[in-house]
Amino acid sequence: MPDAIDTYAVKFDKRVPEGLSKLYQSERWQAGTSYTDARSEYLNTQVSLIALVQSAVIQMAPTYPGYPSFLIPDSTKTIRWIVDNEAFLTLESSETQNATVPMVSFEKIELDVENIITSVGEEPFENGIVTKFSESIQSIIIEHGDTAVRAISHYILDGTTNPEVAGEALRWVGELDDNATYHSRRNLLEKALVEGATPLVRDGANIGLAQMDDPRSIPYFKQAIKNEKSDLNRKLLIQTLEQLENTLKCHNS
Amino acid sequence: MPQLLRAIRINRWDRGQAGISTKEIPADALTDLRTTQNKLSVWLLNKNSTHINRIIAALAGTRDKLANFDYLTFNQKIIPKVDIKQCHVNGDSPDDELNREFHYDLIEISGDRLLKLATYLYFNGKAERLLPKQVALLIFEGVKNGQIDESKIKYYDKVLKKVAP
Repeated sequence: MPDAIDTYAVKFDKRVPEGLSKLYQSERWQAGTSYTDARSEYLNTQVSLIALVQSAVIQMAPTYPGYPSFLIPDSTKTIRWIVDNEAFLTLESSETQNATVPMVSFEKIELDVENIITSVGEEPFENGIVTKFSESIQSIIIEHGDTAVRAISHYILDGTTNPEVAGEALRWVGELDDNATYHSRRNLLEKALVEGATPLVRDGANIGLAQMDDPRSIPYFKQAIKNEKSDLNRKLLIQTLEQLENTLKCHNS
Repeated sequence: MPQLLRAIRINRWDRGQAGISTKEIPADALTDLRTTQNKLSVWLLNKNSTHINRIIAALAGTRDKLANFDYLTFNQKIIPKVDIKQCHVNGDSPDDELNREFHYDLIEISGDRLLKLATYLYFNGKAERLLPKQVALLIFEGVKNGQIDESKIKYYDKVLKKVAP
C-alpha cells in the first residue's frame, strides 16, 4: 500500500471515531462487517484501514436502498473524498440521502461507458487481441471499480447494446486481474450468462467466467445450460462447466 | 487425407443464426477468412492430428493476452476442388519448427473461390474451442519441451498462474 494511502488511513482512523463509528455501529447500517470489526482487524493485522472500511461499506451498501451515490464504494478515491470533505459528519446526519454529488458521479461513469461502447470501430474482434475497446473497458473498471461494473451491466443487460460488443466486453471483464472488483464482475458475468438476450452475450459471459475459473459459478452454468436454445452455445457452456467441476475437485482434494 | 487448421471465432460459425436459413452460410463467418494479398494462412495437421495441440499453443502464443482458442479443421483435399492453390511457406509463430514444416498459404483466392471455400468449411468443417486454462497448459508444455520460445509469449506470467495457481 503506498505511503499516501497510509497517510489517509491514519487521518481517517483519527477522525472516524467521531463520526463514522457511530454510523457504522448504528442499527441502520449494521450488515456484514462492522467498523469495529474492521478496526480490530486493522489493529491486529496492520492491514490498511481503508481497504477494510471499503470492504465493510461494500457489504452494507446493497442492503441500504437509500444510500447516497458517493458511497458506492468503488475505490480509494471514495474514501479520500469522505475524509477530505468530512463527509462522515454528513453521513451521520439525517440528511444522508440528499448529500452532494461526489467527484465522479455514477451518471458520469455511465456516460463514459456509453461512449466506450458506442465508439467501437469496424475492426472485427479476435480472441486474445487487445483493442482500444478492451483497454477502455478494463481501464474504467480499474479506475472506478464496482461503480463502473454496475454501469457496464446496465448496458450489457438492457438488450440494446450490439450483442457482439456486449459479448466482447464480458470477455474482458472476466479477463481482468483486479481483486477489488472480483465479486461484482463475477456477479455481472453470472447474470449475463443466465439472462443475456443473445447467444453472443451469453458466450461472452461464458468465456469471462471460464477466465475466472471460480467453481461458485457452477449453479449458474447449470441454469444456463437448461435454458440455452443454441446447440453450439450449450456445447460451449457444458465445456466450461466441466472445467469448473474439475477445478472444484482440485480445491477439494 | 491430412487436415488443415484455421483459427476462427466459433460463434460466427454457429448454425441457426437469426435470419439465416440452414442452407446458407452467415456472412460473419467470412470475417474469419479475411485474406491479405488474396492469401489465407492455414496450418497442416500431421497424420492422426497428433500435433494439433502444439499448433494451437503456437498460434495462441502470438496473441496479446491469454484467451480461448477457437479453430476449424477441414480436409485438405477440398483446396484443389475449390480451385485454390496452396503454397508451403514459413509461418509466423513462436514455434520455429512448426513455422518451417507445417504452415501453408492458400493463394490466388478470388471472391468466388473464397465463397466456395467458406461454404465447404461451414458445412463440412469441424469447429472446436479450447478454454483459456487449456490453452495455458498447452503453452506451458510447449515452453517446457523447448518448442516455444517463452520470451515471445506476452502473457507467460498469466500462463504460469493458470497452470499452477
